[in-house]
Amino acid sequence: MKTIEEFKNFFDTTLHIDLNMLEHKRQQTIKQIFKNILIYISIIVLLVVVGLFVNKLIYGDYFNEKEYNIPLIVSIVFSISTIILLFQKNAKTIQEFIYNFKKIVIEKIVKFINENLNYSPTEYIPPEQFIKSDIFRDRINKYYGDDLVSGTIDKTEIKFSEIHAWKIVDSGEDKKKKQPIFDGIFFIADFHKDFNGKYFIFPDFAQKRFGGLGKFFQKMNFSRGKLIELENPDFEREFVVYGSDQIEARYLLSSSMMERILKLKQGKFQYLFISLVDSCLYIALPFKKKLFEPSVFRSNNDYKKTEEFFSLINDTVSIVEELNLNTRIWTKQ
Amino acid sequence: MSVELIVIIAVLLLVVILFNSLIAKRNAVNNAFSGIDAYLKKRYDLIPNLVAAVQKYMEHERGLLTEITELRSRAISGNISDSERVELDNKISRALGAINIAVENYPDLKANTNFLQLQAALNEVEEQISAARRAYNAAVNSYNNAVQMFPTNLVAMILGFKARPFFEASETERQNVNVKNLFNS
Repeated sequence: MKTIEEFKNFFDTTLHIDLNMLEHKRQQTIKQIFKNILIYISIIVLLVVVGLFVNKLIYGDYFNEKEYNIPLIVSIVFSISTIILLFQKNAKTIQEFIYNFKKIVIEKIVKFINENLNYSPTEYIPPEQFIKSDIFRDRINKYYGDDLVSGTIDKTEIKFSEIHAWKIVDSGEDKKKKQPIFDGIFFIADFHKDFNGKYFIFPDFAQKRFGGLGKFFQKMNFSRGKLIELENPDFEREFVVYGSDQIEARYLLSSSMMERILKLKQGKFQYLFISLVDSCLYIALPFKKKLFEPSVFRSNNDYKKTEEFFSLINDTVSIVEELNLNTRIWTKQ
Repeated sequence: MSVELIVIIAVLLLVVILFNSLIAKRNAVNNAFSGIDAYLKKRYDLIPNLVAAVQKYMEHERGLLTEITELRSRAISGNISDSERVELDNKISRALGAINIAVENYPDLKANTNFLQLQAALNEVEEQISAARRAYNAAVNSYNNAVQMFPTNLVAMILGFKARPFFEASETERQNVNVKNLFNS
């Protein structure tokens, strides 16, 4: 795990130079955007003017109420298409800048954190693995993501990316509404112990809000297996655990593992949705905003902002150390 | 239907529910206990392999290896009481711990893949035993609450159900983790 001081040094010696270069690129991108707007608006004006003149030539007036005004309509149709083209072109220009920024800055940050990690700005955790975690059981209608980080930290294989998943729900009177299922970072790691069942560790909303009654309903909820009541009261206050087997659950959630998960929650990640399925550890870390995105209209040559990118990736990668996943003293190597 | 009848049916229903919940809790305790047993058996199965793997190297610890073999044969012989069983298992844990420490003196043994696999299997089973004990204690806690709390305690009294003891670390196990003593000795 890298410290903030180490990162500050890395920023001053390396990243700073890249950010200067990218700042120049960003200004060029803005110029390109305005150039596009100017060119396309000129085309639109020209199209409308030509339309009006041709209209006058054919019908004797710029706009004749008794006629169809076909030349004018054609010029308006072309103008609308030009506006759409303008938006597409500018979106592409912005995307190219963002891609370049990520490929240079975020990739360097990832490699700085750990040489064995790889970064891809456009790839993401595939939906099959998101579904396999079984954390979210809603039917997914729309799914996308970006910023995939993957690799091996010592003995533990990990990968994570930003994920957005939605479902479409009826909102009455034949209307459909898009409802988010999950927005945030989805993390997968190879767990250091073998196991057969499925286990879920979720934030304990019910017991926190409704006390004993909440616990009663948790016990009655069999959809995720049995309720597993653990002996660490602090852990029990924060999390509810479900799973297929009482003993195996305790084998996986040893006393130290409970402490470690608790520390993770108290430190860096407020909400943790964890599942242990098929020898893998899945963690969903909800975030409201879009992550690792540079801005086009404001300078990115800013230490605070870059440190935010670093901290989020570093904290996510350090889950491996925090949960002690590299300790391989059991039969799984 | 008269009110009395409804009340009688309701009370009967309540008794049945309480009775069933108590039985379920008692069964969970028995089930958890057999869980510990299963992992202890798994540990007994590993001991002969461990002894076979280390005896070529450990010339000076012959006594320790003979002791652990004897303890194992006594534990699997069957005709022993529960308390003797617990005592034997504690002794086995201690002997295994002593072997693990002795291994440090044999670099060749530490590099032996066969031994390393066995050691990993033993670590795993130790942690599974500890998990099974914790699961047993959780089941006992839930059962004891039911036996001692109103209204299930009434049904428990009629049925003669008594609170069960928790599985606690033995005196020696507690002493083992006392690091201060280690430094003092």
